[in-house]
Amino acid sequence: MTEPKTPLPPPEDRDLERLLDGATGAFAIPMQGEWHREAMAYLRNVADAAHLVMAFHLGDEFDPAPVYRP
Amino acid sequence: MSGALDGAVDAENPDVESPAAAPDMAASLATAHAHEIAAAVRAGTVPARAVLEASLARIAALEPQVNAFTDLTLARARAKADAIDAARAEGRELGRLAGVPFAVKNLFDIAGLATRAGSKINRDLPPAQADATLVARLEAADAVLVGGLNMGEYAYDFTGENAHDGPSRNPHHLGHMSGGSSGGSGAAVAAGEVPLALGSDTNGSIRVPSALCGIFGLKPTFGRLSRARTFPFVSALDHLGPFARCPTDLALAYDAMQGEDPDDPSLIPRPYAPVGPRLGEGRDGLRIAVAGGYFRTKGMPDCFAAVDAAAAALGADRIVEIPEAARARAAAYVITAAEGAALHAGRLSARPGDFDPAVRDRLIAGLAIPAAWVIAAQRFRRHFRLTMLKLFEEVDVILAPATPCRAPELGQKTFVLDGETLLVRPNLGLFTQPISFIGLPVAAVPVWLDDGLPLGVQVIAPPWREDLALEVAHALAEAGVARAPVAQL
Repeated sequence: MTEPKTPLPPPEDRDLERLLDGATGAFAIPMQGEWHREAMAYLRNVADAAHLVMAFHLGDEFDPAPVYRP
Repeated sequence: MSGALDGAVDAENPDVESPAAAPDMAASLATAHAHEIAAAVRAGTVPARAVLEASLARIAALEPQVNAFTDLTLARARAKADAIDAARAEGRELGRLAGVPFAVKNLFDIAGLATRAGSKINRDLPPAQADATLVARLEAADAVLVGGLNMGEYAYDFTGENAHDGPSRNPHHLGHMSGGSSGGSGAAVAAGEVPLALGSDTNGSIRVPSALCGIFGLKPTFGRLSRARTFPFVSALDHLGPFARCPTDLALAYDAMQGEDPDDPSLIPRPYAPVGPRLGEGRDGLRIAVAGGYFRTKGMPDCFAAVDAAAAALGADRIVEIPEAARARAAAYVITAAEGAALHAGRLSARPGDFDPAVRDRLIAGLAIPAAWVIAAQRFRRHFRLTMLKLFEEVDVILAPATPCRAPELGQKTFVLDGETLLVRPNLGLFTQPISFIGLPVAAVPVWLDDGLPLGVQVIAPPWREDLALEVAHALAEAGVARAPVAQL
């Protein structure tokens, strides 16, 4: 459980913009200007949180926490 | 903006108005705990109908200020109270919650009402056909449902504010937040409108309003209580639980709500483990520690002073580090954003203008989250769980702040923590999120340091050990460190 040797870099704002634009297109969200600015700010926060999580190296065999139980 | 009760109607009989109860009766019953009411009703000292009318009178008097309720079920409540009194008159034994008025966050199904979940959109849903399992279980114990409670839209909230229904207000200072998303639940109990309420907690939505409103709350272990017929937020993290003004009432409600339920596939089968009968037997030998590190930063000094006051009363001087708590919170943040967005994708496309803007923009952001981030967060969840289970080999209970500050003012957007300006809405739960991330049971305990607003302490226990969390909460109440006075309104 150590830090990875080559952690992923945090995503750039321009890449997050592409993610957001792609998602709102794919989900047919009729965006308005102000919504986009606010959503981008939130996505930046999520990306920073995700970067913190992904920087923690768990190896390849660590299962996700279970939710579904047959 | 109109108050929530302006539109609150008796679903079965909108023409029926609540008759005024005698003021003395209303005042005395408002300060009564659920277990005191149940004992009096079971003994025949007070009729259930009188208790109910006192509660309804207080609701009618205070709602223009507090705004905790969105729906009242007057005819149903009166029929239930009368049935309890009739059963008592016939000599039948009454349930453990006989005559106790209670209300539920409006994401619980109430038969005959659309389950609005704090939204405008859900009001167009057909009325629920049946009650949520937990509502039915409390009524099976002869509690009396009086209505549905205000909440942050779709539970994506820590403030108690709502663009459609107006904010539920903190009864101890009406200009301040109740906390959310179960804001109405916290406010109704703190105001003495009902002695018992139910809410949900995905990232802190029971513990935050408990802290800000100065009452007790219980977030049980993930999977312990049925979520059947409640509107979800994040299925991977959603919990349900009670609010009250003493730990005894939490235990009474928790015991009444346990049990298997084929209608909830996420419920984890566990033996019935009542807490109430053993509450107060003592905490001798319990290894109690204070959470250090992450849980001693990014907070106002008061929130740490509240924890220290609780620790001192318990004689707990050990400090433990919860490793990777910041990363745990980050992972919970990612899962919440993604799963919450997925749930509402269709509504975001069809009716984006009908969302609370503060919620809509966060949900839209969640639609853009790559799956790899979510899977990484779920993998880290397993790691963090193992870390915490190892920590619980050394200690039995951990104390931590519930919120980083006292209740912010309504409408306040930012606060400064450790010199950093942060948004209030996502950061009121920075101390609760790492704990619910792995589903640990927590009792939220109210601490009053002075004449100002209260603070909350999380009493965190290992999985399935709600008894330990409630025992420590009970000890703090007995010591006078934790208390939940009815707000003076």
